Formats: sequence, C-alpha cells, structure tokens
Amino acid sequence: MDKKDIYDRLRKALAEEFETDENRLDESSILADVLEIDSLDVVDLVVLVQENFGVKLSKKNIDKNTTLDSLCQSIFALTETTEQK
Amino acid sequence: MYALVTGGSRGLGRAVCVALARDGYTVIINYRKGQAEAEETLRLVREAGSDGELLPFDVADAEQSRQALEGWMAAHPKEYIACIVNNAGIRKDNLMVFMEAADWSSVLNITLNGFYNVTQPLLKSMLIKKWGRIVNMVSLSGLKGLPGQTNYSASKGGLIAATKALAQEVARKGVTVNAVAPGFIHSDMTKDLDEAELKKTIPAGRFGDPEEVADLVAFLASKKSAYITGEVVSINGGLYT
Repeated sequence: MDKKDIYDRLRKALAEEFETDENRLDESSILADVLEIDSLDVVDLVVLVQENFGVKLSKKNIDKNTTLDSLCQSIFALTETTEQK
Repeated sequence: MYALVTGGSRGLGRAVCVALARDGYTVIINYRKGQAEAEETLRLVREAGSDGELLPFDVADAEQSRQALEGWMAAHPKEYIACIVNNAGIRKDNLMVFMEAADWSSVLNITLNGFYNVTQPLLKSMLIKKWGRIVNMVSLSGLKGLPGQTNYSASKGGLIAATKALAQEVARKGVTVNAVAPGFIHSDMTKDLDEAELKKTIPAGRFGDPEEVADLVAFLASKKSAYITGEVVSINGGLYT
C-alpha cells in the first residue's frame, strides 16, 4: 500500500468514524481541531487504524498537533516495518 | 452480555452474580480460593436462567489479573466484558496503634489495587463498544470512616474517589461508573458483629440482606441507569444519610 492509498482510505474512514464530511479533511488538517478528537477518542483512532491497516499506533504517534499527513506518515512507516518482518 | 464479579464465590458477590444472571448477563465469577463455593454460585447463576463461568485469580496480583483477563479476551475475540462489579475485599480490623503493616497493605491491595488491576485491562473494550457498566462495592466505612478500620476506610474512601474520577473520564463513551455503599448487611463479613446491639442504631431496625444490595447493583448494571454516573449510593437502612 503506498502513501496515496493510505491517505485516501484513512480520510474516508476518519470522516465516517467521526461523522464529518470527507471534504473538510486535507493533508494539513489538524485532527484535534477538525474531528474534535480529544485524548479519549485516541482509543477509537487506534482501533480504526488497526482495523484498516493492520498496524498498531502508539500514543506517541498522536498528539494535539497531529495532522492527517503526519498520521499517514506514521501508518506508512509502521506498515513498512511490518512488511519487512 | 458478559459481567465480571470479583469475589463472586460467596456473600454479597454471590448475590450479585445471581441478580445479574436474572437480568440476562452471562456471569464470570472471579474468586481467589474456595472453588466449591464458586461452583455453588455458578449453579445458582444457572438456576436463575443464565449461564456463567469461573475465572479464579487474585485481584491484588497485577500480573495474575492481567494474564487471566487477557486469556479470557483471547478466548472470546468477538465478545467483551460489558460490566465489572469490583466486589472483592477483605477486612483486617485493628486500632491503628496496633495495626501491622501487612494488614494495612493487604486491605489496600485487594480493594484499591484490585480495582486498577481488573478495570484497566477491560476498559478499552468498553470505550470501543461505547457501552459499559462499572460498579464498585464500597462501604459506609469509606464515607464516614469507622474506628478500628483505618485501613478498610482508606481503601473504600480511595475507591469512592476513583469512582468519581473515572466516571468523568468515560461518561461520554456510554460507560457509567458508580459505587454502592452498604451499611450492615448479613454476610460472612458481619457475622462476628453483635447484631442485636448494632441494629438498635439503625433507623430501619435491622441488618440488610445481600439480595437487597444485589438488586441495587443490578439496577446500576442495567440500561435503565444510563444517566447515573459518579454516584455513591448508600444502602444502610438510614444509618448514615
């Protein structure tokens, strides 16, 4: 899966899970602002990523400044590591 | 739906298991020792029209608790424990001036660390499913403080504070956290007390029965109590209001 695939799938999944319009999300969107994700919602985000990409984010991958793009980078890095194993 | 009752083999825990079974929960009966009693609880759960299973482990032991609960989750990948009743507890009463360190720490370990050891590994599933019920068995002793029970009062008082804090953390996810504070209830824990003398101090004029406490727990574990969270509900015949 390349970065573009991850981006598209993640954008769609986030919009569904957090009940917003996909068009409100772009690469620079800060998740905490656009999706109103707080610290407790991180659980939902971790599960969403695990279900869609089969990798487990750790808490250090997500903070109040996490953007859609930076989350994609984290997922991409994790999928690469998993594939290498 | 599954409910886990710690210290479920006898006394209040057993009554809670039966009440939850009557309300349709499949009951996981935790106990540390006393398998025969736990099996009797399981028989009563089945008699009440539901089913259950035994899950022995020591709630005071973090590693043992985690292994047992993760083992359960691995064996039930499509299910989750929707309700936890943190009921396991012991009393080691003594005046503070005579209290051994071991009696202080064992009471706190079971009640307070036990709450963490059991609740923490199971909480994530409740948040993901956006539905859960946590009921903590506390005591009048944790509200008022009772002489000769500094350790027990501290453990129950701590659990009351934890109840209130966690309730606020998880309310938005459909998970409620409440505490039940019994006064004098007929059980092994009160069998050595002078009932005739003590009941004179209770406005209702009697000790309570385990089934009365269990019905309250079952209500807090039900869908009907969705808007009650962070509460400590006393059940003490008017002894302390």
